[in-house]
Amino acid sequence: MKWLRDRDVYYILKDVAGKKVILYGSGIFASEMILLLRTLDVDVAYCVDDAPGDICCSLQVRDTYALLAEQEPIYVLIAKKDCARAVKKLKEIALVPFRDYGTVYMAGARFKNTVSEASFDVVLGHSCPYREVGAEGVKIFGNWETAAVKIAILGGSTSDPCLYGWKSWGEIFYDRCLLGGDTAVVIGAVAGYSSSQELIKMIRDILPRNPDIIISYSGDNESRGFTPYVTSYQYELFAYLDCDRKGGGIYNGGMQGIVTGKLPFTMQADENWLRNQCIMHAVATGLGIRHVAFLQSNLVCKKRGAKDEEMFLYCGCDNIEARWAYYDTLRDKIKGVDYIIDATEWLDDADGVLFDHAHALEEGNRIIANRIYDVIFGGND
Amino acid sequence: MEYLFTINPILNENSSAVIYGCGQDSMRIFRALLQQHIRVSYFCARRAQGTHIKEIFGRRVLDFEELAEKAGSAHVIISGKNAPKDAEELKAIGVKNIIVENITSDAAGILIDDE
Repeated sequence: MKWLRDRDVYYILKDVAGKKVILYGSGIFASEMILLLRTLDVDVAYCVDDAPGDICCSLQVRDTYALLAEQEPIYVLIAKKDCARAVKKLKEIALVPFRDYGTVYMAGARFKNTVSEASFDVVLGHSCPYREVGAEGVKIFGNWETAAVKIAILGGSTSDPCLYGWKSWGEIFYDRCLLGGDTAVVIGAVAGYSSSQELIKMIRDILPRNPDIIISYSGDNESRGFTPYVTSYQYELFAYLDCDRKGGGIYNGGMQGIVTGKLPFTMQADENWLRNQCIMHAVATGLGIRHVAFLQSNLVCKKRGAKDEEMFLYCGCDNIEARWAYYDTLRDKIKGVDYIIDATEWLDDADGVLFDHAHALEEGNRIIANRIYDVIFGGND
Repeated sequence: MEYLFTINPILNENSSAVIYGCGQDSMRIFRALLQQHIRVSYFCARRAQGTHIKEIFGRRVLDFEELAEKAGSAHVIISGKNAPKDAEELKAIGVKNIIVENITSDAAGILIDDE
């Protein structure tokens, strides 16, 4: 069994609106989806499947190629376990994802890549997908060797250049930089990274590239719980490795209780973020590199409009009070820090630009990119 | 496979429901009803909730004052420890068919009738 989450239901309703809905599948899963869709006032016209001819919930099951005969806008919802095969077939007949078809797990599927597709990183646990950026661990826009201005971006998923099915803010920022001259942007932001990973990433992957400017846009991952310098994914990775090492090796047959990686003192999330930005700033400026950090906006700390409030319900945000306190404290602490910009209010007047609790849709990313550009080059804020 | 909880048999696939409230409790009720294929026509903001959410899952969020008119024969589902008070307020504006959701209505405990 698998959860069909609130956000999935929301995106299903959004994507099928005004279109003829066709279900890909004819088994128990498909039947259940037809009933759920009916309850949501979405009528399925018919089903398609690789083995046509059956009836599913009193609907005809046609051959997948029957879709070619459709004249009006359609939306094919895939309700099959072997989703990859269905996607392949729909691509063959030139249907466009999220315009013409999607899976019932609409929310997660909107991310182009997921953490499970990330490459392993021996220091940081995981990094950008290997198949997209190779062993570089960063995504580069422009010609880094020849560019007149070289800018590096660090952060977590909200700045990740490989995550979205739409433009990340870093890419939009690069587009705008190009209008002003020969610029290259290297993005080392990776989903799941908090400021500890940003710092390590900067030292290892960014500084050797000699950028002129380093931008950090982050803060949210710390607010949701953190272990300094070690991500939760690293613990997962080691636990996974341990499965093959039971009964031998240096770990002596079990990771439980012997994994190290925790600091010997307690540090609050806001202190940790601020401290790491401070270290990044000291190191960068010591090497003659300009460093600017931005405390990011999200659904918890932003002034929410009607669409935001609706999204807030679907996300099931937890620890709201603690996260409020985190942002309140941090906003207060960064007031006198000239290299840290409070960006928590940047999306306040834009209702419905967030995909979920923190990740912005392209429209939101455009706002972030433009505001950051103005700070870096325009002297605003 | 059997489910631990089932929905009140008053509600079935031909029923229509209005969920009173538009917070996390209401979302939980919506999920439970959806799982049992029971249609939700509207959500309704609580009298003092003051929400500005316009719709949830494509269902309009009614103002408290609209509820009696729009609910019609639909079952209005209320939840939480203020349910008896809510029920009185709803009855006063002419709402019928009120059902109290009584499973884990409070985040940290169970709902009991202490009257």
